[in-house]
Amino acid sequence: MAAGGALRGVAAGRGAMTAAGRRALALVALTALGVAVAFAAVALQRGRPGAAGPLYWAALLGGLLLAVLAAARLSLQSAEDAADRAGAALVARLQRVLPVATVPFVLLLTWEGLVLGFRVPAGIFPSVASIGQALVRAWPVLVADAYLTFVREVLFGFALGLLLGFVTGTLIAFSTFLRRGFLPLATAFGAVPIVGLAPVLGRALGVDWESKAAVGVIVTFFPVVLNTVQGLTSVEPLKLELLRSYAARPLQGFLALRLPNALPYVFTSLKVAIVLTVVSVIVAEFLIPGPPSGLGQRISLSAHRGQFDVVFAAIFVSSVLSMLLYWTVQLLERWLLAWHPSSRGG
Amino acid sequence: MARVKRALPVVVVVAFLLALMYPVALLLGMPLARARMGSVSNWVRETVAALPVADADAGGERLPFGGAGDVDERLAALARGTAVVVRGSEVLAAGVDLADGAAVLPSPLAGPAAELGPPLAPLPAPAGSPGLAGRLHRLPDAGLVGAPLYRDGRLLRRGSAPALERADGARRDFTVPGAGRRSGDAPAVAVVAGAALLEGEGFELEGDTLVFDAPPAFNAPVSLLTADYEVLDPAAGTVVLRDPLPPGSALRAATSHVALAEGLVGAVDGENRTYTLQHVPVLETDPARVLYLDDTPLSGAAERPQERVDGSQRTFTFPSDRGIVTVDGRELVAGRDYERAGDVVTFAAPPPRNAAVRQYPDYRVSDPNAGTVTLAVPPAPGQTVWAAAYTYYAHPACGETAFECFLGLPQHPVPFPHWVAERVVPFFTAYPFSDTRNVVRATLYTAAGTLVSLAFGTLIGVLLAVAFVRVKPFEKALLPWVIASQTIPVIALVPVLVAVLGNLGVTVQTSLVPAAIVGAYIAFFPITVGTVTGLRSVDPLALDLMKAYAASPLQSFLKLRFPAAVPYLFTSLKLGAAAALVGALVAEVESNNRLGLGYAIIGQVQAGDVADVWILLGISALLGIGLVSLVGLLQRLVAPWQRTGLAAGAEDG
Repeated sequence: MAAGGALRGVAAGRGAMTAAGRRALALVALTALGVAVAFAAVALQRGRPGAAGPLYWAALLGGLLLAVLAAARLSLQSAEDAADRAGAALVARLQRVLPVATVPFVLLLTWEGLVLGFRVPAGIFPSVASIGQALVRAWPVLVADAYLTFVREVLFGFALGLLLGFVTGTLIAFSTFLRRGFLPLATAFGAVPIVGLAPVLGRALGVDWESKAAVGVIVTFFPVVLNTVQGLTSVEPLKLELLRSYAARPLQGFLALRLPNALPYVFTSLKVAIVLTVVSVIVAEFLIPGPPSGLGQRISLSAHRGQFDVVFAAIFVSSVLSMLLYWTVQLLERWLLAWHPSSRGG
Repeated sequence: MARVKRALPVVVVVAFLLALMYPVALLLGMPLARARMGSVSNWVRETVAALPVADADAGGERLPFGGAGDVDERLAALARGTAVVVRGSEVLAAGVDLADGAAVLPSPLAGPAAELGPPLAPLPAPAGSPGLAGRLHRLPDAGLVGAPLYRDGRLLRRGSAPALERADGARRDFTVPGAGRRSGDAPAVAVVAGAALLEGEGFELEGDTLVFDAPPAFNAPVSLLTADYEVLDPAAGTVVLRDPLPPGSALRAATSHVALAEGLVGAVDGENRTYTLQHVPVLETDPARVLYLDDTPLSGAAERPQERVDGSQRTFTFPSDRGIVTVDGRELVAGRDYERAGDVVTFAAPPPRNAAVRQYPDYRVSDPNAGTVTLAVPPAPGQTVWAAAYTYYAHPACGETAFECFLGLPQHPVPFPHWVAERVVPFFTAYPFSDTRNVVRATLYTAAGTLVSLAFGTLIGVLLAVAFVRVKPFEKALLPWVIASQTIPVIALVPVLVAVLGNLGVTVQTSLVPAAIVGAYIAFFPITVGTVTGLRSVDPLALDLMKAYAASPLQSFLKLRFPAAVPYLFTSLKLGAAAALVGALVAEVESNNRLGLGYAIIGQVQAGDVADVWILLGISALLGIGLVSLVGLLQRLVAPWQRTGLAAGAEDG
């Protein structure tokens, strides 16, 4: 999309094309051509039931190679070559966008091309197109599953784990005894594999959503505790001295100095924890066979039936939602920590 | 001293957490225990039968029935004036008073209380069990099975308690609750599939547990003699005594005897139709229940109509021409709700489709919990309604209190810590090391899988990191997708991987390959990120110096960037080791690899003791910590110069 915008900007005619700019655009066109050739090969092969011929392989691999080489060449083109500023800006913008945008096309076409070319049965490895069809076909089921997994289990577990972790971390931070006693254990508990923990929780809390949310709580809890303690205690002694000289009460000191100091640490742990929570909750759904709903259960059941297209569709939904959650945490961090040097520095 | 000071807080916190497990175990387990206690389907059923007279030669007005503790208890439970003395089905006296375990008849009994048949024939002891001599006898007539036995005129009581476990052909230990509480030193007698075994000659009794020398056959009923005798084979009429019959004693079965039966509570005024059984709650459908009106047996069977209940049918034909008619358990009133013409019943309004239309010829249990029985016809004044036998739910099978039930739960949500401690040694010594079920072996197998996957992951991670640092656009293009790859729940890929590998001819059930691939998939990410950070952590001044010396890029990479990256590499290797362990375990579970720890965990959860699951949880945690320490050890060997720098900083910061 952004590449298209850049091209339109050029087409609007803001001055003459420089050599560097023209070369960059040519490379973009070559990349697009390579992708298009590979795509055409795959599309044509799809319609034919016969075995893949050498022409197919040549078109597929050649197209992909062309796209990769062209994108790589563009990335390596040094922007300083451009004499004028407009050309340099265009090259830089294309360099930022094109390689990132090319990779998914290349990956998906490689996948699709290999599956079609070797005529891999759907019961072993599905094609991208069949995953797309499965996504459309199973959409209502997947939405219901995602609601259960993400809202009931991931978000609830994450929120509770965050709350408990922050409170525990705060309590621990104010007691040297607890800090000495708890921190080594927290590290050890963090080493308990979720594969071992999930069945135990399933036994303790039942096979319904509660045990999976509990997995989320635990996965979130330990990183948050560790980082909260670290953030609350790693305050510059000079600032503490200053507050003391102002005769600030401990609560004031906590709100004005320690809490703001801890927030970046907490957010670091949250970004790790949210992705880990999603993955762990899905692992828990695998290992605690309960009612047949939830993305993990959907994947497990579909895999047992050999419906790998549904498996990948569910994986896709889970990954997209997981990335959305990650970005939400990141946005929240930027918004809450706008004052912090790490955000200002970019 | 300093070490003690450091360790003390950890010990205190561990002790606190362990202590916390007790209330948590109770909190989660007690509701289950209460639910178990509350549901009568988990209760022990006991059959109340008419008590035979205790002394065969008794006569006159006082007939002894008591003597044993549970008998006296039962007599005391009978409501005043409801005891009925019967001979067979003939009522001798109703409303009998009970005093000191004896019934006081209004008029003296004619003849002896019990007429005894010929003595039972002693059977020879089976080979290999000489102790059974004098204990095995055969009834002269198999028709007398179930008749009370008298030894020298004194009543013997029949009874045995079944074992809790089912015989599976391999099990040798069986639990009989209360087996340990036996009086005297007489050896115990077990009954296995109709054959008697004497303690010391086929089994040993340890507390409540019977340990058999040879495992009982599949599905063989196992029980322990708890009273004076038990019938071994009803068809042959063989019985086993707990104590051998002394010489000169005679063992006889009663051909006819006086018994004390329970009368039903309720007014007999010619109108009342509802009576109450005194041991509640009773079973709604009970094949053992025999009620009498005077000497006439009453049938409590439910009859179904010939016609289908389709919602429009109003006329139904039943097998018999009398009784109570109900629709879905609600009794209908004759003349208002239905008209009867012989065995044909015509409803005023058709019953709803698929409703349960039933007819009870003599009586029905209208409220099992209260033990209420409704008769079809009100008895006339002077008649007696009595029960020869019926079954009721006596008490919860799991114990008298909720806590006992909690202790007896088959699947505890959370164990008490000392249960876990007790299981540790047997858990490790259950199988020899050569057996694939040995825990240590499984742990080592999983550790091997983790290390292989960590090696793969490190290779991929370092190569990617070097590529990222050397070729900046490469990083720009690939890094977002590398990050996105970690949002894929890796467990979901295992079934796909198993299918693909299986198709390529790999036996996934015994192969390390799935574990290696999955572990590497998770482990490479932190290693890539850490190594990239490490390679970039070079002092720019040092890089300038290299440039000034005209060092080649390879030289500056090997001599400057790589050493700088080593501490970061090891820090990320520690993260990667933990991740690789998770991956290896996940792969083992999902590929049904029975050799590793992952399958052991799942297997224990499905079929094992909860304490064992917690032990496995502890082992997997220790394995994780051990692998991380192994990486730390490697770091000391490979990069001893870094020990004080980053490592110390990481621990303090």
